[in-house]
Amino acid sequence: MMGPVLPDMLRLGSSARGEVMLPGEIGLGDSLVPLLEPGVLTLDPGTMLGVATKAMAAAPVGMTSVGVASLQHGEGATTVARALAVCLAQSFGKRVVLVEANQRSACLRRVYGLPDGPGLGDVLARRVSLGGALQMAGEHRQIVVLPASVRETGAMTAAGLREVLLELLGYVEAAVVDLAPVLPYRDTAGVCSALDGVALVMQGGRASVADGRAGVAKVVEAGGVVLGGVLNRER
Amino acid sequence: MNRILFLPARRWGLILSVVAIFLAAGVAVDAAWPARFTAEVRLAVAAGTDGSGRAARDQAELLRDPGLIRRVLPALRARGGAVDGVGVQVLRRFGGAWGRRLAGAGAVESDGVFALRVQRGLRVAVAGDTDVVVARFGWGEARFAADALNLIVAGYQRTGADGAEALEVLGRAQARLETAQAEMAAVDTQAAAAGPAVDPEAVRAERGRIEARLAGARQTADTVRLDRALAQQKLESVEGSYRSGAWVDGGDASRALSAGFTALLVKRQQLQGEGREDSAEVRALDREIARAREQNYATTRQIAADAVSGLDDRLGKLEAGIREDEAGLRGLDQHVSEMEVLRQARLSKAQAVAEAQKGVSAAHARADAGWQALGGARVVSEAVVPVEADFPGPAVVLWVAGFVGVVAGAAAAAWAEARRRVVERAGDMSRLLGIEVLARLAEMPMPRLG
Repeated sequence: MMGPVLPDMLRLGSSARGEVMLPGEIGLGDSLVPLLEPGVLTLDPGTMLGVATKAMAAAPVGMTSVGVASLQHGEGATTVARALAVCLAQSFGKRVVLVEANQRSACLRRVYGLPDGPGLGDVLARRVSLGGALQMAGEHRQIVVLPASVRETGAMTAAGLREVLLELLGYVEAAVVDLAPVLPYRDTAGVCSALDGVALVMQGGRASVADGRAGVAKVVEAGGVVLGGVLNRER
Repeated sequence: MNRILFLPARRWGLILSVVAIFLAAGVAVDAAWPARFTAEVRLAVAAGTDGSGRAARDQAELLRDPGLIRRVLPALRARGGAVDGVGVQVLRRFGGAWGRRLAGAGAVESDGVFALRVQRGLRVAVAGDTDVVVARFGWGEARFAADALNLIVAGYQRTGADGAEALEVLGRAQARLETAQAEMAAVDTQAAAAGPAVDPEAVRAERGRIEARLAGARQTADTVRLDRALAQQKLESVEGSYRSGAWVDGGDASRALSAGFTALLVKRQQLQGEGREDSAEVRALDREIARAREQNYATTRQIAADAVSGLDDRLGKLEAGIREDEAGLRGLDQHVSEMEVLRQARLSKAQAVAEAQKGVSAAHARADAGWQALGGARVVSEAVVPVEADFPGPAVVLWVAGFVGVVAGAAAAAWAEARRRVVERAGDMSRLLGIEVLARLAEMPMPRLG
């Protein structure tokens, strides 16, 4: 389905101009897309070393796919996912794809200033090719972003996500999937089975023990692997 | 502190549920025990006119007389009086025998039960040592409380003490009497104007006289008519014989003239016998005979005509007398008839006066009896629609229920939050959830992303 788009994209991503450019067939021409501007991500990627190590250990061969999900909205999953992607790229030298699988509260386009365009939902619906939806990650040449679709899409399935990850296999070495909260949405736990592991983000003093247990249980029951937890705002 | 601030957002469902429960309880309370309004009337009660000096307490007890309430019951029911809340009505309707027993008496009960409820709601007391009776009536509907109390007091004044109404009846009876007397006086005046009173015997005698005179006149008139016809016939005979030339003598028209005429005829016959028929003397005699003959006819005819004329005059006078008598008879009959009508009218008015006098006497008796029972009860202050309820109304109940519900909901939320165990430290994650701690972040100074 994707054809030769991905190699071209990655090659262009390390062009002689020192800037990240997207191939014309992606639809964005040669416009510059700064994905990680200084100061936007204040979370030290080094704090994600434990998560990255665990993720790498979960899949020692081939591409590592790790999901980041919180129990409820507003617990910091997207921020953790972004920091984890940078950590994997910088500290482990991996080529990383940051997949925004949180259609309901998508924010990567706004955070990174990405133009409106096709996204993950469009790829799953086979309206565009994978290469048509990927965006380069600015100065981080090892990072590409697959944002959520602008338009409304249906619920995401593990099979669909697995198919997308398989297409990325060989071109990226790690996939960080920003998932929707586990407890409010039923399909979040369902897609966890397509990943090597899931890191659950919890906010200290807010996430209850019962919710934590329920989140872990939902992921496990859906066939996913809980790598561990990330405690935000520890008391 | 953070947990307290997030408490309403996290536990809004619980808080709203508790508030809703309390509001529902408030509605149920209001439905089961509807608001109660009390109206008040003050009556000044004096001693009775019978001198018995009935005490004010006795007068007050009359207000609570079941008979009085039964009398005003139709008016009370016409004003409504249904005060039960929805809950009680539903209980009564669908709750079977137990439901009806629990719901108690309501708006659909029998007259007896309704009257009993009204009597229960009525409180009567004497204000201190005064003669002022204070009546209070409590009901679930403010307007009905005031209306019902006024109706009861009005009924008390009408039936328990009948004086006012009896006086009104007396006044009406006296008015009727005066009217009847005035009408009878008018009839008398009219009769006086119509003439003296009529004596039937005198009328009968007068009528007989007139009728006898009238019969004689009619008979005479018939005779005169016959005479006239004969005179007319004679006149026509004279004129006929004269015109035919057969006229010789007027007969008894003029004996003297006739004798002279006959003497002329005899003298001519003598001259004719003497052969002197052509003599101047005979011719002069013939002229004299012709002249005498004309004179004889004229005289005879005048006599006959005068007879006819005289008979005509007499007949005219007779007929005029007849007409006058007939008119007199008619006038007499009309007068008798008018006087009879007036007599009947006077009899009727006299009967009305008698009945009115009887009504006045009865009203006097009733008024006397009524005033004896009334004791001079007078309304000092009428019942007005009470504004505030004795028992809190629906608004107050719901406000209190809502406030208590909010407090209870907040307490329930705080209690639930206190029982809620949260993950605060890394150790909690591994110890309570059984998962490895991959990262610990003191603070993430990022805007909320997801």
